[in-house]
Amino acid sequence: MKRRQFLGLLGAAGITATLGGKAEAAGGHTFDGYPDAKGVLFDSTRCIGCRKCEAACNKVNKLPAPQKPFEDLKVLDTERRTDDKTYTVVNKYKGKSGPVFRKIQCNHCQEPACASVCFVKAFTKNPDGSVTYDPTVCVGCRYCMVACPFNIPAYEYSDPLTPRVRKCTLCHDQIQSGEQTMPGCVAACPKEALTYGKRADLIEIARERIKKHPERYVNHIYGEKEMGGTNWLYLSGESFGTLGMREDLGNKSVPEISAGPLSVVPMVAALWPALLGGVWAINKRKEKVAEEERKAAVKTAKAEVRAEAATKLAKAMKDAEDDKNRAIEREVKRALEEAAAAAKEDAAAAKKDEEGA
Amino acid sequence: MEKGRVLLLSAGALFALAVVSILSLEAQGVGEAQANAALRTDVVKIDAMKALGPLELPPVTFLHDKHTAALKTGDKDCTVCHLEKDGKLVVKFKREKDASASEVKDIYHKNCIGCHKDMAAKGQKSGPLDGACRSCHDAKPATVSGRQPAGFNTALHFRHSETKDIPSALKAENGEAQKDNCDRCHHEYNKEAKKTFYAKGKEGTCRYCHLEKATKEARSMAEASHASCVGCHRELALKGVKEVGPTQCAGCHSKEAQEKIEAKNKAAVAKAPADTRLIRRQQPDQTLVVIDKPAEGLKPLAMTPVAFNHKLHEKNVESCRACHHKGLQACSKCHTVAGSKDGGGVQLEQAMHMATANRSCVGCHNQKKAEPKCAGCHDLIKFRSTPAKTECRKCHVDAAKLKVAPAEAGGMPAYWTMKPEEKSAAAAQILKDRPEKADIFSTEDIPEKVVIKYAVNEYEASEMPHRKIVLKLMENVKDSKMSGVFHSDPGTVCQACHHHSLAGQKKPPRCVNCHGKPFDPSQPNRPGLKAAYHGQCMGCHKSMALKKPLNTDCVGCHKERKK
Repeated sequence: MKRRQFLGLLGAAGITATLGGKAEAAGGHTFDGYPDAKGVLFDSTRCIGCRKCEAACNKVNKLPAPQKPFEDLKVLDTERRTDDKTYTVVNKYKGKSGPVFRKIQCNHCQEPACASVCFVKAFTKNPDGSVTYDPTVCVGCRYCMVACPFNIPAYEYSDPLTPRVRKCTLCHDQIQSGEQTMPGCVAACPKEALTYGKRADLIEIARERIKKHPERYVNHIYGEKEMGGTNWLYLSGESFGTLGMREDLGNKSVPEISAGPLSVVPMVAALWPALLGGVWAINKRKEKVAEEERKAAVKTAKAEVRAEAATKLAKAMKDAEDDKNRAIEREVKRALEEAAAAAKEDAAAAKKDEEGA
Repeated sequence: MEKGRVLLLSAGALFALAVVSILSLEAQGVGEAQANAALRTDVVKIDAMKALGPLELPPVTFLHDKHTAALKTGDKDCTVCHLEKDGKLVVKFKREKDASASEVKDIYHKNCIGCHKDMAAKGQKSGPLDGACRSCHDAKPATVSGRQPAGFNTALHFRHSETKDIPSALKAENGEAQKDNCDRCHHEYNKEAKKTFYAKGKEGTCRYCHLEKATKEARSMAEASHASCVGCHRELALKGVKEVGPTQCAGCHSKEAQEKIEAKNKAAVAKAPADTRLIRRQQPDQTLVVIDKPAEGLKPLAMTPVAFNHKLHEKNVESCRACHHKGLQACSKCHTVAGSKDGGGVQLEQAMHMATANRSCVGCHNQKKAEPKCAGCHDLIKFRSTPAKTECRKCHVDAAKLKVAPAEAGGMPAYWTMKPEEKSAAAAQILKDRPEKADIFSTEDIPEKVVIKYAVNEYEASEMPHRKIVLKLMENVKDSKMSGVFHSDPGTVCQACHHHSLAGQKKPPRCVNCHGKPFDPSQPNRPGLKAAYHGQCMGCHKSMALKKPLNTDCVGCHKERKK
């Protein structure tokens, strides 16, 4: 029954898979962001690469002093990334008519990949737009680092006992406590290359800037739709690829991308054991019954054969006995006859003798 | 494994290797041959047969100067390849017309390969022979054209019109050759007789009729200019004239040659007396730009005329075509007030004022404003969708100054009835009275230093050398009459930095009066005070391409504050 078993399993699995249907956007809901979420608009045409934002971030978050001071602009000659002691860096890129700069930090996505993959809910997308991290529940699996499309979360590898994931917090704690009214980097920028405000307002501002100076900007707001929309928006005069930004990310957030396959998991985990187990059990039972029937059949056949053999043997034995008896009788009879004949001859001879004498 | 399987597997592996190697040829840099190809100015793509049907092989990359250089060895000249008609060279190769594809193909193959064969037979280095098709029909040639487009400008035209080597072909009344030699090059075309003839007073640029592509009535500009210009240069060279124009491709089309020609042009213009007109076409020195007579039944409704200094503008453009792009007549002939088919539907207002066009008045002025000397201020005020109404008066004259009667009672003065002399006289008068020197307030009224102390935090107050900057800007402006006219009001130059305030004030408002805390939702486009200062100063420095002070040199503008 091997083939049928296989086909049965396949059919059950397939039918239950189609029962799941198409899961859209993590269950068919759309999230356009919290209405009052704040964000930051970065205008690369205004940035002069002075690194005052890095210095301010370092001060506001009480991070340790860096190896090279923030006034050293030669560090811009190498491409850097955020690490566990640096929540933001400014990188220099080669533009069409001179260098252009970009500030790298957590983009505070509207549907963050880090929050989506964290199975202990260490990341939270707050209503004020920021994505914050709770080190008390983190298990250190670093799925968030794998999942982030912008490669932002950094890990404290140097701390063996209580390592944490570090990234920009949009100064959430400092703004909540009233210490700051806007992120430290935004306040420090001398050119207002960083603009802080409601995300919806920032998009309006960005569109107006593009409309007013179409020759100055590329007609695209990076982060408006990328990865489902981010709260850190970018404007640039060069192509975003020139600024080292990924242009191949698409407009679907990570939760949306993984919602499809993930939605099938509960159904698979619940139904497949039952159904497939059932199919297997039925087949097994069938086999078992077949086995028993076979055994019974074999047994009766054996008994029959044995009985037949016994009767045959008995008959043969009887025949043999009969034959033997008959043979004996025959021999005895012959012997008797011979003996009788011999006695007769003897008697005749004796008589003759008697007469002769 | 059996032997057959080993063979199959190794064949498969070799195949995979071959496919990968071929596909990665680009990675190996084979395609870079095109990118690093040598640049030559004499590259001619022989694709004349393109118009006669689809091409079987790629067009031939022909190096013209290389071949003309080879001619010198045998004491030959252009007629080896080019026919002569009426004493002039036909620029096509050994034919006057493209008859049919097969004919043209035969002409090229027989003559090119034939000549190569002859030269090879003589033992000379020659080109590809029969059978080496792809040597000529190369899809990816190693040589790439570095040809710069060549043309005429007024200075070069001046050299041609003044030289004695090109005498006029017409005779004046006294029997001698005419002084002006315009007839040697300029002609009109008689469509019926299919002949060219000289029409005095109608001379214009060749490009008015000879366009990029040949038309039914005129050859393409490339053909016409090579036949006429290079042909004439060749004739003069044969006659033995020493200073003659180029006959080689590189002589006109290479960057070095063009620089040399420009230098010679400048020298010729400098040598001429100060008031010489480079082009003598009876054009007015000053004139009024007026609208044309309106069509029958239409009421004339338009702005007043503009007094135009034609002579000054002539000096500042490369050729007449900078403005007279379709013909040497007034703009308003085609660009009527309501727009006409001749003008391509472009109304007079757009033709004069379109800020982004090359040929409009405002557009050309805007191009000048983009130069570093001017861009510091003008990049900051670039986007103004509607300039102030007072700006119109800078060009459009006051109707009262021109005493012209209206065409009908209560209507607009009939400016189009003015005769050219009247227009010139009126314009000359108005232009004489117009102030054309940039002006500012007196030096005592301009603060020498401005101490900016409103945002002191990490740095001390910034001491800005205000007077030095203003005087430097005035120096940038002083050479240009145009900027003189537009900056003649004393407070105008101040308006770039002291913006959004009334012009002409000796004490403009302070920046901090409007720029305060950043990110005010009711004023999304207004920067905070810190960004207002940095944005304006750094923006101006960047537009003017100043090396000092560097944007990132904070202490260059304000000292550090020792806490």
